[in-house]
Amino acid sequence: MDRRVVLQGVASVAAATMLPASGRAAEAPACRRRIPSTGAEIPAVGIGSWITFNVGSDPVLLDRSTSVIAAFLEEGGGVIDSSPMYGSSQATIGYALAQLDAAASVFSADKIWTSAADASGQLAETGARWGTSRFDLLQVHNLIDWQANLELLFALKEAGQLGHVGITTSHGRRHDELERILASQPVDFVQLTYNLADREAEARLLPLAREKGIAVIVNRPFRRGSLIRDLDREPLPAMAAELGAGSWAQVLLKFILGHPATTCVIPATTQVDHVRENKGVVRGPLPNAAMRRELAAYFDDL
Amino acid sequence: MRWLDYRLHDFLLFAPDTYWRLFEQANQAVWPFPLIIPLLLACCLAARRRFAGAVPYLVTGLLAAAWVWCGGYFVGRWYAPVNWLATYTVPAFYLQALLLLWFGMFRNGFGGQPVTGARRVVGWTLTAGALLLYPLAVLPRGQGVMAGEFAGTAPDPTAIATLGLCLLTRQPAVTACLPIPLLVCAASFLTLRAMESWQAWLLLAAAAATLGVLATSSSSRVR
Repeated sequence: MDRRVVLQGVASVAAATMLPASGRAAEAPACRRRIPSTGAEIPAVGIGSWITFNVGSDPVLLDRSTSVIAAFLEEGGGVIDSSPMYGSSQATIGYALAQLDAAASVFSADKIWTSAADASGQLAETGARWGTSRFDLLQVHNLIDWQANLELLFALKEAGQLGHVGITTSHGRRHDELERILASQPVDFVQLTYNLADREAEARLLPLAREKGIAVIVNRPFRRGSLIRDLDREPLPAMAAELGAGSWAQVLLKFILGHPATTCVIPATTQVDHVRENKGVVRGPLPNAAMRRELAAYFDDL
Repeated sequence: MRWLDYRLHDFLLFAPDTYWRLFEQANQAVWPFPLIIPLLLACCLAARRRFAGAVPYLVTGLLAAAWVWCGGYFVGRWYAPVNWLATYTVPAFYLQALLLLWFGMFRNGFGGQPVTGARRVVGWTLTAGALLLYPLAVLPRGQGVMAGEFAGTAPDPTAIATLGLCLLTRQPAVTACLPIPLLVCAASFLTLRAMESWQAWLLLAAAAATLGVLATSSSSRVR
């Protein structure tokens, strides 16, 4: 069965109108979240580009990607995240933004994925592929040469050539080192993996980010789709209706966005209807701490 | 770093439909050129008895050209933009072309006495399968033959055809021409497994059959 449920539209309308049936206090929806360090606001649902936008020069797939980004912008836009590691994804984003004349209307987020000696050259290439000379956020990818690369990014920010500085990891790797960096460096953003199956970040990283005023971007919300493929065989938790979630994809996103430290989640997709479904999660209520614990327990029991 | 946490598909940088469409794009851009190398190779092999003097050199030249075109055109021009790792493999394709030229020109590699037994059967099966049948693997995916993987353009049938032709010669120096096609089979097996494609097993079978036959031949010689 497709992960997208036919009744999604009905569920969204219901979510917008109903009160929590159980009387528990679900969190109010928050379409936009504040970046603690600068006070700027971004939509809570962004879009990632790992694999999905790596389409080379294929005109059919470039146009498909453009449609996805067009739908993303129609639904409020926000963070588009990429990396030099993601093959042709940066060029695809640049192509789409040029087609849509929308380069200025997204929160552009990319990464340094090389040693500091080559970072300036890589940043120039990244900018050329996106078609922009100033990014809203640049991050050090997977902690690569992070001391020197962060220094470079802080200097760019100081010079007004960059909006925010961040650091990333994924798959739950190197959390100890990441924790030390968050504790010691004035980064604006941290990007990490957090979802119903990968909850390690709950223990120390998410509380630390909240305490230090660091915005959190959550990657791999669906574990590259495998979580949804596995969960689609299971019934939705009863709480889904209460949250206005019509599919496991929406439950997964709501679980992430319900954490008070989460600023933004960046699911990647090749389909316009998935973009709209992902964006739709913030129109309904989000789970509070008790509901999130209940969701985690339900997931663990599956 | 917890390398054990990585799964095979974590290393896949592209979606399967992107990968399969690369062959269609690459073929379409130079159509009908992708047909030429496999057809000429097939014709040479069909006429090997009538033109016994020229065929070994033609096969050598065509195979070398296949590896150069495959590496420079498909891997470098089409595959590398979606898989940056592939960029570093292009020199190996050129090296394989040089090895084949050396083997064919200076070791009379594709001439000499024909092989017999299992080695002959496996050699012909791999060669004919790669040249004539492999492009049809596209049909179950619902794509046309234009999207097929042709020896001389696509790495997998090029590697399999090379293994097959190498099995059809008795020259000991042929072992120098085997590692790169075997590595291509291994890399493609992993890629296709990550994409959950049944074609992965064709690569594994081709490599296993080649190594099995070589091991058997080698132990026969020892006895």
